[in-house]
Amino acid sequence: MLKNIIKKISLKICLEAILFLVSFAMGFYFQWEIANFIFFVIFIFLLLHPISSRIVASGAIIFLIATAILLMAKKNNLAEITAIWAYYCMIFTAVLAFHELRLEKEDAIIPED
Amino acid sequence: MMKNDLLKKIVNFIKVERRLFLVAIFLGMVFLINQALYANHKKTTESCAGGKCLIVPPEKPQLTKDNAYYFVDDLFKNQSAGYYRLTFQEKSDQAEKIILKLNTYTEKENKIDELSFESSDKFKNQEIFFFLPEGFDSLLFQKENSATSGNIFIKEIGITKLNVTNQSELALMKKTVLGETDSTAVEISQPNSDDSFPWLKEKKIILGQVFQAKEPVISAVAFKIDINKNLNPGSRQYSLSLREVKYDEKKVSLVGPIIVDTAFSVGSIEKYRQVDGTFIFPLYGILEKDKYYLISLDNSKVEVSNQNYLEFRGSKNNNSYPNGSAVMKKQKELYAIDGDLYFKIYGANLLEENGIKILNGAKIESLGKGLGKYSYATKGKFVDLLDLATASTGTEFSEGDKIIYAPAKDDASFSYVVNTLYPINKLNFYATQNKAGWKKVKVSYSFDQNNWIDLASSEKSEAVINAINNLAENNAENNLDSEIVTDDSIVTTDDILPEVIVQETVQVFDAEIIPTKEVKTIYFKISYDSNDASKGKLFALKNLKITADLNMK
Repeated sequence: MLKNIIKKISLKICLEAILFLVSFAMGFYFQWEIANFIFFVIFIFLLLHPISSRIVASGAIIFLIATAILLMAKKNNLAEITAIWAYYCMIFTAVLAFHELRLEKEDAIIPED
Repeated sequence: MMKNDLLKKIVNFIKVERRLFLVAIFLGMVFLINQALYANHKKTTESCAGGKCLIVPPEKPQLTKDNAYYFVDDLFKNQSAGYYRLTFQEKSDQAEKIILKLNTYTEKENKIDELSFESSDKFKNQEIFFFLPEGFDSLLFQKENSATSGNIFIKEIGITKLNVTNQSELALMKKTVLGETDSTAVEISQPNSDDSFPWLKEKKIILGQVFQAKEPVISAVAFKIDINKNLNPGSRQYSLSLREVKYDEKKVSLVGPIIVDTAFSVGSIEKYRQVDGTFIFPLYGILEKDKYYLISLDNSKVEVSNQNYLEFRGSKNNNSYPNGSAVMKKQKELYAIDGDLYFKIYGANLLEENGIKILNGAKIESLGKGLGKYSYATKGKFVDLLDLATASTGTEFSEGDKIIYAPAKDDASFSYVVNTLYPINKLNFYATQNKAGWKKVKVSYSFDQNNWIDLASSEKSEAVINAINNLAENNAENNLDSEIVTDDSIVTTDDILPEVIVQETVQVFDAEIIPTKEVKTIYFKISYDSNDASKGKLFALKNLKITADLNMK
């Protein structure tokens, strides 16, 4: 049994490692910006290991506030970048929220014994 | 049995770890989308030669081998019989002869003239005086020999009724003179384009070419640029600028501010594409002969990458252009690099009539019975600067206000020389001060440049003046499609609603000058009113219009 679990975990870790390697390779191949690349890897990580959507949503809010402050400081180029980051975080939040909703629905279906 | 177990295990694994497979599918989709959207697409000068990349298709000729007739319908509709002037522009790709006929829907024809067109790549003005009998409404351009293969382009057709009653008066009509600027002459060039200069793929790079000015004006610059772009190249803009430099073989340093610049994105650069695949960028600027200037492209605002950048073509041979060099600025350091970019610098010269310079866009036309008319108006474009006879330091063109302005200090001024070719009976000078709050303007005129007379001005509401100008502009735009120019576009203060009238006032110059002796040239000097105590630092005139009645006998 333990052997089986170890085997299963190893295979899972191997496949995850391959997926991350593929992500890295794509980043280099398409020459993505470093920030875009980091967000992409984070997204892959969140798909594989979901966390609470509230954490990611707070990131989106922080970036949105930063955008407003940078706009007031007339740092338009930086504001544009943080706005894009906020947008990324909102997409992550939506995906995670969808996942949480599915989990809640699954939990709500209680077998009647 | 073994196989079934393995299959079951795999299915079970997929069911338990389906997230891994969803991520794998997601990665596959990202790869395919990126491959389609962001893969490198290169457009070279050669691949675009022959007009293949032109956004606006080249205009079609009106007369061709297959079509020997070109009708201009209803040109004379509602026009009474009498003597007329017909003007149009033509160009032909080979020498051709055409016949001009008056025409009606009943196919009645009346030949009015035969014309010979020379082979030319520039449009030429044509003018014909003719008598229009009753009963004709259309004009026909017909090839004399319909078998010839020449392509003839005809545009800007217009007619004007003349104040002429018989043939002897018609014979006295003078040819219309149009002031034009020739901005097609290449002043300096480096025609070799065998090598590439791909340095703009790096971020925050300025790449350009130093040249030594031969003429006092630059009107455009041509480059060969290969475009490396993905399907989403972004809308951020490259900046093409002209500035003076100190150049000494390998040492280059910037002198003063940017003289003129223009900006374009990878998406909008195609509007500058020519039929031969090169790019010509309009870049009007005043130069000083023998000084060195740098024309450069700055990519600091663009998200460049190996798949999204502009690539200059040129020659790595340092001797291909001996009076300059390709130049690069990286991390605040400006230095000459090996070779020269492919480039052509275009100048701009006012055309001369019998050795006399006519202001750009000025028209001198005969009205019949020995009378003529001179008209000139500024166009609100940089080319207006070329009309200045003299200008003090700091005189510049403002793209925002579309005016020529100068700083109000010392003895700053700029001047015009108005040559009418024929004696002036009466001349009208109209212009307004650019803005309330700017330094008041002083306009003086002279017949000999020794005795100067100040023109009087009145004060009018700035809002009213702006409203008049806007209405006049709109009317002019509406009349663009019209074949016949009328005087309906003249707008007066009566056309303006009272609610736009506010207290801010500007100077209005609307003066008549009647020479007491025979005069064909009048000098105008525009300076600032030194008695004006306002805090304005600049002075400028707006909507300058000069008209004159001429004696053409």
